Amino acid sequence: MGWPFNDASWNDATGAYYAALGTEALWVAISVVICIASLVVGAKHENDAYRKAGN
Amino acid sequence: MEEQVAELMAKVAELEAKANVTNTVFAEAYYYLTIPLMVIIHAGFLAYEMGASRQKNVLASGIKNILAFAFMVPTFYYFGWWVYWAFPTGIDFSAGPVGISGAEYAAFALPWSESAGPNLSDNSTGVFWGAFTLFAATTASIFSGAVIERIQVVGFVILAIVLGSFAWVVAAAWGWHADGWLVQEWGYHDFGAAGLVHAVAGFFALGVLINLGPRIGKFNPDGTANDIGAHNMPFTLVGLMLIIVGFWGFLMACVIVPGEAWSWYSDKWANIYGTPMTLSALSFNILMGFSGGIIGAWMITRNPFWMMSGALGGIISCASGLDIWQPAQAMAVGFIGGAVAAPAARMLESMKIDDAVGAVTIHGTLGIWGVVAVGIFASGYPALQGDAGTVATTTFLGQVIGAVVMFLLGFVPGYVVSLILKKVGLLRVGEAAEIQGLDMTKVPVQAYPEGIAPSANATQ
Repeated sequence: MGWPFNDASWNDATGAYYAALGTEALWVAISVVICIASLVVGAKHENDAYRKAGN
Repeated sequence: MEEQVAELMAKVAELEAKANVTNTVFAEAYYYLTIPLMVIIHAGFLAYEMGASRQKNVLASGIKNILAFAFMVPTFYYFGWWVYWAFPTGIDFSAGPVGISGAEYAAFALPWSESAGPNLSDNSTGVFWGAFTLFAATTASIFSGAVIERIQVVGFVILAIVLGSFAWVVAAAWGWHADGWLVQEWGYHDFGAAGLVHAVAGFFALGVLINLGPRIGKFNPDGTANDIGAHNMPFTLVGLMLIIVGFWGFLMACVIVPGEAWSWYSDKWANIYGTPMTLSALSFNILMGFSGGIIGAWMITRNPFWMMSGALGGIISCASGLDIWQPAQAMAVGFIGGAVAAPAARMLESMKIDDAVGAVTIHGTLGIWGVVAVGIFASGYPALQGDAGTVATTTFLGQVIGAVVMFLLGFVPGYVVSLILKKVGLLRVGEAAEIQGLDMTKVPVQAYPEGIAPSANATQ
């Protein structure tokens, strides 16, 4: 998306801005995946730890 | 002459614009500063839980608490914030009478909307979202303490998300939002969230505890209970005091600043329902409730853990009516809360429920007491702005109905989701891991690697 305003300065900038690669929905989707994947990896680590403890 | 009038008009317009900017900056900074104050609540819960754990579980308890906070932030961003604005009238997502609710209105709260990120024309959404996110994280921390030393981390995080980003948010939409059906139809009054934060979180914990079961060694075969002592009581006491410090931020964030487009008034503070109040009222009543809670607990137990828990319980007991109590009345309400806390916790223990930190009692039972106390001692207030007869009035029946709804919104999801997690093996740690201690089992570092010997009951 990049720079959202017509003039390449902050002088008359108003409203929402989003100056990064990609779209809002894409980044929301990526962060959701990060959360879910970390829970899956965390659960696996936990189960391995309990197994090593003798469960 | 005309030139002078025009000049004067221009000057007035300039001054008005500056005054508006000052008010906007003040309002934004006010809510922004409630956020770090509420983070102190989490520093407190962290110390409280780690201190209340045995030495073998200290860091595992800390990790669990930190992760609850970490997952609460994005999940509240994804859907919790939207739930608050969409759900006030129930599950049909229709707009309520005040017109700031329903699925259409709540579109601004979706994570890909223009309001859900940097926006030079919106100085309020981010700070309001931040304050609500910290409310959500507080519910998770309340629940967190009750289940220490035997719950799986991932199972706990899933439960924390259900509580913090959904269950309490529905309660807030129904009983805090000015369009909420409990407010509009029953005059429900819960200014400081005794019901919709504390009772919901406390009874969510109860639902989980039933499925989770007690820690190994907590109960004897004859049904009597053993005391599993905190490994560091001073740490726990300081943690409780930090929670109380953070409560000033929590309660500040329950107040609506005047003078903005979204304010209830141009010239005075209001509560979230839109009825007028002052920060002075909060100062009187928080301190008097705090004091009453400590004294009430001291009358019953002489135990510093329960005295500090009583302080928290005193504020929670007063929370629903902090905007309207007479200060001495707040102290009396807090005193009752502090006095009943320890006996209520013993009663819960006699039912074989192992609540490691008294969360069900302090937040659940006293949260309900706080809601009902408004019905007993403060009925008759108009619940919303509007002429007499056109808006609901706060009543004993309305508060009791609200208390029942808060209990169910906490207990039912807590019980059901934890039962599902139990069935799929994600709720409780294995017996060998629990006996060995969770720090040795899954944390790669020890809390106290050298120099501090465990106390007599710390290795049970």
